[in-house]
Amino acid sequence: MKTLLPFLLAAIAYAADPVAVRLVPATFELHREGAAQQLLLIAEYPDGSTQDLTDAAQWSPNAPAGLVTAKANPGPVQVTATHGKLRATASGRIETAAGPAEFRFRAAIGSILTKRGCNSPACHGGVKGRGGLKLSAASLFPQDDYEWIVKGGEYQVLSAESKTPRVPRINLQNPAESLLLRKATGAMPHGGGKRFAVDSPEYQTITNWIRQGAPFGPPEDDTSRVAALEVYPKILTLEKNQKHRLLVTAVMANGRREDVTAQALYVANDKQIATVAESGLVSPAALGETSILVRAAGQAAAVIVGVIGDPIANYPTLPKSNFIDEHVFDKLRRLRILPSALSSDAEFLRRVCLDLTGTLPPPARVTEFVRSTDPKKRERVIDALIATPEFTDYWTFRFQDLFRVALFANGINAKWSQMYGEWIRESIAKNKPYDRMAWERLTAQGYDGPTRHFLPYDVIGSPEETMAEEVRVFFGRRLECAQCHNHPYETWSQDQFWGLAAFFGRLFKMGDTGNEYVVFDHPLNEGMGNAEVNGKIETLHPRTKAKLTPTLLDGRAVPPSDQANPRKPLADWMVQHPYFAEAAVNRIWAEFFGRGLVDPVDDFRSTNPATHPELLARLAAEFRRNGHDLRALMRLIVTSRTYQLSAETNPTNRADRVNYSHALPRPLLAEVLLDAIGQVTGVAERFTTTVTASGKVTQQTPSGTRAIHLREPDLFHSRFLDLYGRPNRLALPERSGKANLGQALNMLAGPIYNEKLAHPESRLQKLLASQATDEAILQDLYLTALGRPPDPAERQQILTALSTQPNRSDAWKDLFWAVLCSREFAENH
Amino acid sequence: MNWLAGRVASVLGALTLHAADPNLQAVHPLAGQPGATYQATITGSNLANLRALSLDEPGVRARLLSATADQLRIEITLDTSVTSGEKKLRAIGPQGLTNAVSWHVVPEPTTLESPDLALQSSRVVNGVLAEPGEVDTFTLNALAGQAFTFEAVSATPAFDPVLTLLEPAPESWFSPKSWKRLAFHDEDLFFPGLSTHARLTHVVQQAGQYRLQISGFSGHGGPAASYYLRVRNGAAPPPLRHPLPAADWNPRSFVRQLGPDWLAQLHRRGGDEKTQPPPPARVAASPDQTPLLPIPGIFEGRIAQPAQTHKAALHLEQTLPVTIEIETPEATLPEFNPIVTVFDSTGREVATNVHTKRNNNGLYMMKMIHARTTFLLTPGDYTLQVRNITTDHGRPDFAYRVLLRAQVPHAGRVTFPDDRLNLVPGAARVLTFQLDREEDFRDPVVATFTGLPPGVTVLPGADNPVERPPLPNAGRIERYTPKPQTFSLLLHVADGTPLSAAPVYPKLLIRPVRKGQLAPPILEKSIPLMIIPAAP
Repeated sequence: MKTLLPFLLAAIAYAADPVAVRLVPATFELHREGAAQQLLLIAEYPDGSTQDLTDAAQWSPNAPAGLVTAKANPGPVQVTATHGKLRATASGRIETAAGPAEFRFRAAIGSILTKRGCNSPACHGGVKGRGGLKLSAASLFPQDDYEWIVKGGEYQVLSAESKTPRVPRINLQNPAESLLLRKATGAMPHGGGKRFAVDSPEYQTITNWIRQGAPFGPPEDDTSRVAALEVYPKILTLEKNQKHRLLVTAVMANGRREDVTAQALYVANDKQIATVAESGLVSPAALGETSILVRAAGQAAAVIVGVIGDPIANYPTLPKSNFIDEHVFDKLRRLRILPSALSSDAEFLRRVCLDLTGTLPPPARVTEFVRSTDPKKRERVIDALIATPEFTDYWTFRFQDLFRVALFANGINAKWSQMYGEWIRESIAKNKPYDRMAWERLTAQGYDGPTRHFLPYDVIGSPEETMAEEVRVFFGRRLECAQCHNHPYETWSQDQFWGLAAFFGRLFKMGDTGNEYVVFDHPLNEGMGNAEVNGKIETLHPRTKAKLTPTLLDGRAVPPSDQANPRKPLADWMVQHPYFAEAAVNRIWAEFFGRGLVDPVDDFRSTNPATHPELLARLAAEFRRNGHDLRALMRLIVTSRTYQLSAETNPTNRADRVNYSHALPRPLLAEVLLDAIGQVTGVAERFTTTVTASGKVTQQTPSGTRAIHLREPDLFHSRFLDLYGRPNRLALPERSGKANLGQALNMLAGPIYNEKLAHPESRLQKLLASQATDEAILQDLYLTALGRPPDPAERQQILTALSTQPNRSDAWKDLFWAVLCSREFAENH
Repeated sequence: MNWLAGRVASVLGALTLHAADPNLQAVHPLAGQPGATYQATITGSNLANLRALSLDEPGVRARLLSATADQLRIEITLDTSVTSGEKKLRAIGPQGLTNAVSWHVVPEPTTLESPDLALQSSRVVNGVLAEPGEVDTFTLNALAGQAFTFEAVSATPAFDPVLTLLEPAPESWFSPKSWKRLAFHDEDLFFPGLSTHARLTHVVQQAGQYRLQISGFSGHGGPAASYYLRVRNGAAPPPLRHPLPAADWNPRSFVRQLGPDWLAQLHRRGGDEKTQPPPPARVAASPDQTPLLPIPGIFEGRIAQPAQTHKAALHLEQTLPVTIEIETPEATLPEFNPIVTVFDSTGREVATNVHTKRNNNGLYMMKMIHARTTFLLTPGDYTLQVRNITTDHGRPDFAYRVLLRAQVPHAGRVTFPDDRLNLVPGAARVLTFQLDREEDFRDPVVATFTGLPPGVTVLPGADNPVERPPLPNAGRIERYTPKPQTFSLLLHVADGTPLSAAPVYPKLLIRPVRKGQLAPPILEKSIPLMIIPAAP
């Protein structure tokens, strides 16, 4: 804190002149008469910040506010913008030989439906549509939209047929009487209200289209199919008094780029932070960070907007340990946030021990580490921790959580959950490359450990559920929505979902008694007795009832073969896909920072952007380069200065929760907390399974078994663990970490705290019996529980308070209890 | 498999003790060396007043020292000539004869567990995990490169031992004196029919002291959790992943041997002693060819590579009820799961050893693999195909024999649950057993006892079986399961029959009747029997 004061005191608002300006885009092409390109004039300032000066610039030739429109004078064009003494030029090329753009439904009508929010997820773009009309989100499927409008009909989720007789929503004879126009203009009741006026360009465009016979236009091809949506800038920092335009570009399947800024729909996630106009002009509202969702041409993208405070003069040059710091600190500088100081040795040691091993540092190690003057001591302790048995135990536990090792998740057979759990343990102990782990699980056949993953509740899981879980775990994406309908927030279609699910469509088990299941992929061309029960092995599209061929998300179909495991091509594709590495590094990142670069970690989508996209990409690249080495990835993360920043904040970063400017205190996982209580009290927990009616325990974990060692949460009971959020692993675990009343009551009267403290073999009772002084006991308690000695003020207050208590043992029990209930103990910080 | 499992379940169910029967659980120490005399305890129930031991093991003497309700104290003396292996022992008292409990004779010297006992090669340690969660820990001094095989054998199937080898972890930052897991073993392969004994082979990389721990799976423990631990130098051969054929004749096991006399066995069990069919022709599988398989004929090969498929051609001149039998002489389920399918000339599946049915709770398709299936084959050309169920697994020991033959009606497996009979004067005891009628075997079967003690008579009884409606969605179950028939015999003990001082061993005989003639027995089983006083 003290080290920051000079900078904070020196933080003054200043208004520097830009040092350079540039036009975005610097080059452009307009291919049809009437096509337009928005140019932005971006100014660059000495501190690295930028500002949109488009509206303040003078443009020539004839590009009002930076908008260049192709007219019938083809050829090269130079556009110049001037601001003060600074000038920037963009080079363009205009081709108008082909005349105006050919009519296409998506471009002409779909863009209106998008811009006016008609096909947004909250309206007709929702799962079932609205009022019987279903439109695809942002006009992703223009042919479907066209038919629902032109032919009419009521959408059904599980059938391709109309629920009611088809009545067109347009009137070719009298366009003004079209339902489409009357609803949108408010001429008749409309749940979505008035979307545009009768004299608006949108009304005119639609009317003209109907008059011309409501054509669809030529089918979509590479010149019209949008492959991606790009938004400039991806990350926008705004001062309190600045505004900035967004520039939205559709990248066609043939690589051509089109400006769709005017057709895009903009939605600010948090209007308290920033707002966005219909034109894409972003305005700040309050300090903070939010995102703006951009939809156009069937695609979606997001822009991160940070509203920043006053400039900080003499922003310090921060030491960096590796590229993580470069990315994080660069963004902090742009956001005018000063990171916290480096954590103290004690703070770092407790944090890194808990994060790498789920274990509190022993008091002697704390003292040794704090006293050490070795400049490399942090790196050395990281390496030492990664080599400990506790590291293997802890990460086995974390992956058993993620991979769902549980009695009921693995065939309701404890031997099978052991087989599966041991496979994970071996993988962690041997540092098996993560892509190999994933591949082995995705392709598992036969009777070995990872095959047991496919036997939830004693049956083979459905293809759609199995696939959705694999995608969520290994791609960090939630495709489940697309199971019943095209994904309302993403570009995942129902066809893509089921094409992927079909890879798991032949998964089957041999056996009937619950003791001998062999997992295999049923051959397509052999019945194996199917005819005897009139059965078939096929995966059908739930809506169209079409037989599905396994198809990768990129559209490549994988023809089935009876001679090959159908999941191998899927696994080969998945582990090499960029999604795989970025999902993996994001998941591991979250283990160390309490949140992912994309958060939640399994909710990657264009509308939930990474806080640090370049860092995520670099981490993923590094992970791939290192052979998907989990230990190397963890080492990279914990050796960064970013990880080692203190949890203590400064005025500039106090509100920051997403930019890693300081360590965020995180509640200890239930299992880690219980183990930590056992460490501090010196009384380990014993876990039992079913207790007979007479109270006889028939199964009990061996003495010394830690909570993180428990393989099956549904086999070994613990009220404490359940209260503190241990998941049963019957679905993908989501730990909230939020406190609840049960926890509070448990602290007050629960057996874990009170019985352990009163136990005759407890650390406290042994210390008291050893005639240790109050000072020695206090030192031991703090070092054990908090990983630091008490500071002088704490020591003074506590010892004074203890001296006034009539019963020394009770007083110490109370103090131990208070420490165990403190946030400092129960959180990793 | 479904059928087998049902059979196992019914046997286990029927083994439920009669209320008064004394029952033995586990012996501790579990193993003794020839030449040794030692005391042991046997846990169990209803053991008070037992007064003698019953065993028929050459070179073994045992005497009962004391008995309480749940424990016997005995002394065992082993001659130096006694052979190694599993032995059985029963106890006798006024409440009758106990079940037979297992114990072992081992060639190595034995010792009792003690805390941190130093293990030695070629030694056996006897121990018991008396409480749930108990772990026995031993030390082991090893040289660099030294290989060890540790084997933990439990006294009862109810106790499943687990072995963990630990090495010092001086690198452990948390506690330099800590130990870390070096190797772990529960059982080689958890699957019905295979041992759950733990067996760990490990080559130690560094010289030093190690620890070996024995625990119970999932924290099991109790007075009956008795075990012995054998330590051997060197890597012993891996344990058998191939269950031994059951003592009783079971034609529906993948591990029964389809030897040259198999067809003769089937005829004999059908009451036909005279037919001595020649051994079936043997046809070797070839990856590239489809040889003709005569009927009867054995098609044999190895699925040495993943996704390998072997085929044989069949030709039938006349309609024939046939049976396909499959043996896995080396690797077997669950590693090797041979799928045998017969296709007609159009490629339509005619028969398979996979029984498909629908689960009546959700109508899920369920599949069970069988070692025998029966069906009718009409004249024509067919292809028989053999492959492993997975496409990813193939090994040189994935060997199979597929016997295709005409059906032979015969008596199949006989299940008789009682392993001892404690009878009370003036009372009758109904004994129920089950016979599988295979391949439309319809001849009568006679069951009787010989060698019953005076005062005990055997009478035919009528069973009152629960009539179960046929399962819906059961597929063609008749192809995969025999027709079970339940028989009852009634043993009546006359009033005043003298009580037994020792068990007698009457024989249960089961004989088919063929064309009015009693055929030789298909089952002869001695069952120990005692006449005991009525419970007060």
